[in-house]
Amino acid sequence: MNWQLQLTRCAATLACCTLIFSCTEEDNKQAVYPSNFGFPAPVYRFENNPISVEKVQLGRLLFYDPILSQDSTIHCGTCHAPEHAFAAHNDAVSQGVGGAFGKRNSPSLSNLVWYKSFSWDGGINHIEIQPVTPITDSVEMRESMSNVLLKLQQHRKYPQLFKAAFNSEEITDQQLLFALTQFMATMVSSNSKFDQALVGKTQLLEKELMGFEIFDKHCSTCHAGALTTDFTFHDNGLTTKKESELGRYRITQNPEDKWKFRVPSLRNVSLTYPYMHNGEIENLEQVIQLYSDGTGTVTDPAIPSDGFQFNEDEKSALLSFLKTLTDYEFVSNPKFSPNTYLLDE
Amino acid sequence: MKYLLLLVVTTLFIACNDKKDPDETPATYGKIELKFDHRWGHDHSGGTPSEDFVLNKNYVLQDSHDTVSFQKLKYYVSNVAFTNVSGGVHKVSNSYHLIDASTGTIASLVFDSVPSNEYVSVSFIIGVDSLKNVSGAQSGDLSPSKEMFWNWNTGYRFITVEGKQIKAAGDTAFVYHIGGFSGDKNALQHKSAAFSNGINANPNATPSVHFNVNIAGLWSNNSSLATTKKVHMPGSMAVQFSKNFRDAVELDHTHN
Repeated sequence: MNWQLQLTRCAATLACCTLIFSCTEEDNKQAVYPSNFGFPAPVYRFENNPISVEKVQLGRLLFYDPILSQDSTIHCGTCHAPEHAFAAHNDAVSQGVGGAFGKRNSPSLSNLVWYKSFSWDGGINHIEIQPVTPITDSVEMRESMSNVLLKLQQHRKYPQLFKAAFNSEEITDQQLLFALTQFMATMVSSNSKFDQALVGKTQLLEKELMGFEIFDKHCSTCHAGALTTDFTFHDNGLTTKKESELGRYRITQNPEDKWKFRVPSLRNVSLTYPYMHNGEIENLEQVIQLYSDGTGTVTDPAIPSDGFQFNEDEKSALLSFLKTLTDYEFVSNPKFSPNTYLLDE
Repeated sequence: MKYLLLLVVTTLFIACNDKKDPDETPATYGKIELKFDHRWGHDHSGGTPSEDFVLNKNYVLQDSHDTVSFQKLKYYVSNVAFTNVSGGVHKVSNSYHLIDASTGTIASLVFDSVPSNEYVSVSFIIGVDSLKNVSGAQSGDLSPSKEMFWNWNTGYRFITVEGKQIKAAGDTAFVYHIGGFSGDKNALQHKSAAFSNGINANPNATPSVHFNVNIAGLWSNNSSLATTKKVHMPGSMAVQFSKNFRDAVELDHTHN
């Protein structure tokens, strides 16, 4: 019943958000937040992939099983660790099979059913298809989809688990992707301190509230709404530009898209260090410093070229606010932890 | 937003084309076979290119005299539809067919459940329609495990051609991964062919439609082996190769 609880919780949060937004004006003690922090309608609606306990559990099992990688050394959780809100464990860029280094920082995973594109350059257009990339990429799991299927088919346990989930004798890659999608879909983070403040369950400290106001004024243009991203692509002025890493341009071939990367969600951002598409910035203080100073090379209209010029109090307040986006219930939820014990039963 | 628009447009398109011929209420069904006969040759005057095409065999290009051999040739034929003599259209449902030259010179697709009738033309897409490129994990011939799917920029490779140019100084590889489904990168190619004599689908016969696919035709219209050894993403080169490939597919004959 894990997924049901999860989805019910999410739906309840949505309902509460709506209720509270209509009540806040009457409650003078409650800080008034802009109404655009409610969750929108999800993008992914399970239309061809009806949700079930068996599929979610199978997806969870697969997520943590290195059988997906060429030499059985890497699983999804290797680079998407639950304690880091499913971002990498402190690595700027992760190592794949054989010690190969990728070019990009492993992104945090949460609220993926609201995503309309995936990866730092937005090249992947559907949640069901996203796992194909890490499984087959030569610097990640370096495996072929057909070989994964072969290994699963020959496994002593998976054929019966797939049959229980999909009622079919044959394991297909569509089923594999459907199951992974269902587990990823349950990863909903909507209970951070900030979420709780939005629905009146708690109040932000004065400093956090001041940080929120700065955030709302300067950052929420791109880090918009409940998902803290508008899924657009920007060059935020990083000076470490390389011809071998052109960001969004790789997908569109539009010269204006060179070195643009997707605005990442800031949910649980205090746990997803290091930062930026290549993990080049170690901590949040340095990120705030970057946006405060600017780099002189920012051409994006959303960011002044000489930065936002925050004073020390403002920087500190912004940091305090960003920490309220941490959802401790999400990162410690046992429903997201490895369940590979199922293979021993 | 772009995808949404695409979806809406595609849906409309499908909806508009889904009209059944009111006269078409057959009691019986037959089969039609489409044959894709892979050839190698340079005769564009209507004759059959002379050589059988198989993988891992050396062929000589007419103009450059370069010697080439192929390790992979795979492509999608999709959305097959037959038009009958009274103008009604039978659209094959869930029509996505991966053709792989490793299975032999001639690839055969047999369509069951074709309403009994006289058919006068066939149409299909070389590639995979935009909707299937934006709708998540697919099955059958559209499975990612068929390795006709880009893992970094979602979409199908409509045509995969891989081989090498044989040279005394050492072979040089060529790789053409042809795909792209939106805007000016759209490499979907529509092919239709009218039969000189109608074919009769009925329970007692499987009429056959025979296409020649002249692989030498890949290199034409400003795309030469000398200038282009690699196409691995949607774009103008992919579109050019997709057109060349479409033109290399030619109706040869039909028989009942």
